[in-house]
Amino acid sequence: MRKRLKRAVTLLLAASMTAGLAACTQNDSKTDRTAAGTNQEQKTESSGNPQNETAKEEKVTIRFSWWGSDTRHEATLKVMDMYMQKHPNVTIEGEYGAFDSFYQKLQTQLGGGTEPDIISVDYKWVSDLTAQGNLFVNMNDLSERIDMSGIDMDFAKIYGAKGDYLIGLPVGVNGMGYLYNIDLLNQYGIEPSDNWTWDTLLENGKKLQEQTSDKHLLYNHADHWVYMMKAMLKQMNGNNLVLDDYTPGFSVEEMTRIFSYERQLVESGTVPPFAEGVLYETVYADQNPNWLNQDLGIFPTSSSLVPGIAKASNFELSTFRYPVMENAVNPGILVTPSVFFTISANSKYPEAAADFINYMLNDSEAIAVLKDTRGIPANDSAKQQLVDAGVIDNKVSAMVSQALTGAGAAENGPSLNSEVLVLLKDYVQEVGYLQMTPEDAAEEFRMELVSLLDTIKP
Amino acid sequence: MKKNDHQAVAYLFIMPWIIGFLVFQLYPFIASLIYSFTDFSLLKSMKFIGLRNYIQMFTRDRVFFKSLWATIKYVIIAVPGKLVFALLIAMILNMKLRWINFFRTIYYLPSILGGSVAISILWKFLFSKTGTVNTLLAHFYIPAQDWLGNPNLALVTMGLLVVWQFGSSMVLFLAALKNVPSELCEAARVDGAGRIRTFFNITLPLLTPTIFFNLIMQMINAFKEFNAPFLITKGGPLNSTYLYGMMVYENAFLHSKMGYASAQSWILFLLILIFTAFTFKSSPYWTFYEDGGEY
Amino acid sequence: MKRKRRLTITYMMLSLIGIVMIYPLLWMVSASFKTNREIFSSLSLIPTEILWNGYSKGWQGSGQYTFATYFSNTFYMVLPTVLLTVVSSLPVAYGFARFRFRGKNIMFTLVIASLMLPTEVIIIPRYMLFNKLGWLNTYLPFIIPAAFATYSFFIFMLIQFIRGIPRELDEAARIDGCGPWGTLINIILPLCKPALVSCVIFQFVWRWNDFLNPLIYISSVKKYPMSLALRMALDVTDTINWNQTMAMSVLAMVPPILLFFLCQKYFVEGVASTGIKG
Repeated sequence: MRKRLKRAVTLLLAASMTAGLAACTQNDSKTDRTAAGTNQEQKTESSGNPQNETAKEEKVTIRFSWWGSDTRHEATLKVMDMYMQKHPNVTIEGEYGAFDSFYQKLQTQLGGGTEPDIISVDYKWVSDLTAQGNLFVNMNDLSERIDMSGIDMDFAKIYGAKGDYLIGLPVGVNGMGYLYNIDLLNQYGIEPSDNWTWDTLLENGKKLQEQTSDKHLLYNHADHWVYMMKAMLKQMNGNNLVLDDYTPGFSVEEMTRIFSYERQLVESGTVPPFAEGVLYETVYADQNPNWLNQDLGIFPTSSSLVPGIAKASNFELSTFRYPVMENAVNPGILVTPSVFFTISANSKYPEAAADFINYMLNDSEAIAVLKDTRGIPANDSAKQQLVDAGVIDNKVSAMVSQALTGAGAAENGPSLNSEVLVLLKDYVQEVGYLQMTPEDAAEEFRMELVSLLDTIKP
Repeated sequence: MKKNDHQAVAYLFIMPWIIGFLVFQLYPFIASLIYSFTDFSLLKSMKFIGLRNYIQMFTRDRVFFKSLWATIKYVIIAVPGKLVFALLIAMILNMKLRWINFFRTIYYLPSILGGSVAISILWKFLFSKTGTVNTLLAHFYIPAQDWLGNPNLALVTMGLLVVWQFGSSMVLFLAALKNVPSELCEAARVDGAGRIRTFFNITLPLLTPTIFFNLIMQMINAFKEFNAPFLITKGGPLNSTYLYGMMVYENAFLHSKMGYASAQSWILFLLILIFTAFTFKSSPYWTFYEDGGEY
Repeated sequence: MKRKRRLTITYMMLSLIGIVMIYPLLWMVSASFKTNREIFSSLSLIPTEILWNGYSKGWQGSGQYTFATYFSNTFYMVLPTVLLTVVSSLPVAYGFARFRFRGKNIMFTLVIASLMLPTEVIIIPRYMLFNKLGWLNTYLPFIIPAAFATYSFFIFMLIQFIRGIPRELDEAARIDGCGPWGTLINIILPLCKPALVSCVIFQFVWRWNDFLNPLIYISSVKKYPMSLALRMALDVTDTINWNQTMAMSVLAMVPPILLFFLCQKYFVEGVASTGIKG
């Protein structure tokens, strides 16, 4: 009798294990299916027009995901409505939220095959995503459905393609810059200009602190410390944080200089103490009470966030160029696509999705509603339309043009890896909380980075 | 004949659980062990890599030990805090007081809300630098603390959230206290024992089974904690509140390292097993069962 | 005299603690009527400037779905789960409590052991499993396991309770000609009512507040339960009108609290009978 039980248990375990392995192999076939799906897309797309008629008849529901603030949500929802009225057989469901957890959710969706049809993708994720197979429809195959003539395809390729595989279309152009409270800087005698160096920032920070210790000149959001350091590095030696061959793009000495600068910013009171800012590290100025209460002078930001911040701030804002150090090897200012519109390779209605993307990028009514909520349009004709109508927020266009004067070398895939960024952020915190000296932090960071790169090298 | 029928019927009743257990608990349990020896993400295919995940965890992962230590600290702060408080209040409420039901309700209310999102929002507000708690302290001339921004304090603040929900443990102790025969206390009183003596020599020993089970369940819950760090502090500042549950989640769904995350979850399981086994093993020394203790 | 003073002190202390316990919740309610500025600064429960629109505006949500959707989603997710939990756990508990059979000890140990299993260990394989079954982004990952008594805490709780019912009653039923099923329905079930109500309450509250599982299994906003919707409310708006978020948080707390007040007696009895769960 005992033997029977033992046998039953062994069978049980064996069954579970086989089931487990079956789960593994089925995972493989899923990835293959994805690739096959893309191939099929290519075939149907090239047959051209006849598709159009049939696509218009059937009832279609497509899901569209994006991140942003209310201004962007309202505009996007309105455009969706407009499109749905013109195409009554199409229903578009919006899925939107904050940037903060968007990527996590996307990963989960991609893994489960529950991703939307049209997906907003940030340039930082492209390298990771393309490494995992052909998850999106190759935009180069949709050139007949979507008018791409106004888009700078080279710009699109730099950040959005792996070889000939273009995962999406850039919607807007973002530039990094300094957004500032005009009155505050004025009041304390700080002069904004497009020629700030890092020294200028430090000097002015001290100047502000001397006059009033409650206020601080600048606040770096958690992601922004990373941008700042990457920019400084490029200015120092022209390198990306991680080189293409997965080795660090800096020496310990160079990193020490960067961390020392961070420490100086904290110690001089140019930035608020880290402990104070911790609750706002992942949100933007529009949700930061210190900014809204006018205790902060400058908020480094990407241009696409400016409209949302301006709406929430009840004081006048303006922009000036991101600091560049003297004798910079490369000006290093980040100019990137604000977002890519992509179509999932698993989408049941890629044609309908492509049509809607085309509408958003090229239709003049849509452009008039979407305006610059996703940055200055990457599509030249769209940009021109908005400029002519005078509706581009001049802060946004100013910031972008200021950034363009110092546009830096493009970011590469390895420098955008999520674990690399988390690692750097951790050390930023250690230095910022004054828990580690810049020298120690730089040395440890480089060591850990090498170790990490070893594990993520393809 | 009858016995076999009897057994067959029993199995029939148990059957739903057996199926559920096999499919939704045993299979994932074993599968996660297998996953822990592989490298796979949601989108990549699975590659068997042996012990590499475990080795990496113990030698190369900076945050692993930090998170582990933070979680252990959290358990040490939160669980005794909650139990001691619960016991104390239960003792007080056990006395013949008026309005005991009213107080019991009030004290139990926070537990119902559990680790819900609403409460996390609340906690973030109450303990922010300019929040209610600091404003209250200011009235007593106590300087404002950085409850959530100070790496040394943040974990305590989260522990407070657990202690605030002591109501559930309290109700358990109350029920157990009701079972302490009053004759024993009377007898002790007659013998001249003071209140405190009575408590330590009569009441407390009789409560030990309840304390024991409370301890185990609260400990396991604390080890699993995810909502609070994820919603309130996001693991910061300086990873001081980067509890284990959150680390596993981020490795699985943010960094797409499911094999690694599975390995980490197994280490958590072993940790809980060790703590539980230790508690069980030590129980004969301090737990007293009236009926001999067979479970 | 001394006794009276001691009593008064005790009552004062209890009241003080009561205030500390309750204050956060009251604060939340009052915050749902306050302006942002006051939320961040004042201590008092009475707002000087009252905003009446917190509930109506918060209800609208920020976009395509109102909180009506999120509330009903939560009910769709929670009610079947609760119902099935009770319906499946009782027969299983009956089997364990009243019958002897081969492997009973092992299986009972497994029931207890599964209580100690951290969700983190099984959540990834479960995710893969549900993915393959096509259950992702539905409420099935919650409902189907409930139908198979996977929430083993309730089996345990019911076993404890049934053990307290004298076997003579079973005997009597058998003599009257009831089979095991009849005994269950006619004798055990009625007597188990308090425990069953406790099961309903506990499972309802736990499922209602669940955050991690919906976070992993539900991806489209249309299907969000309250916990995910609230978290989204934290993320979404540019100028967060905190009174609206507070208002929705208050509403989210209402069903569990209401349930508690209506069934207080059972709650306490249920907790006490397990001897375990806190």
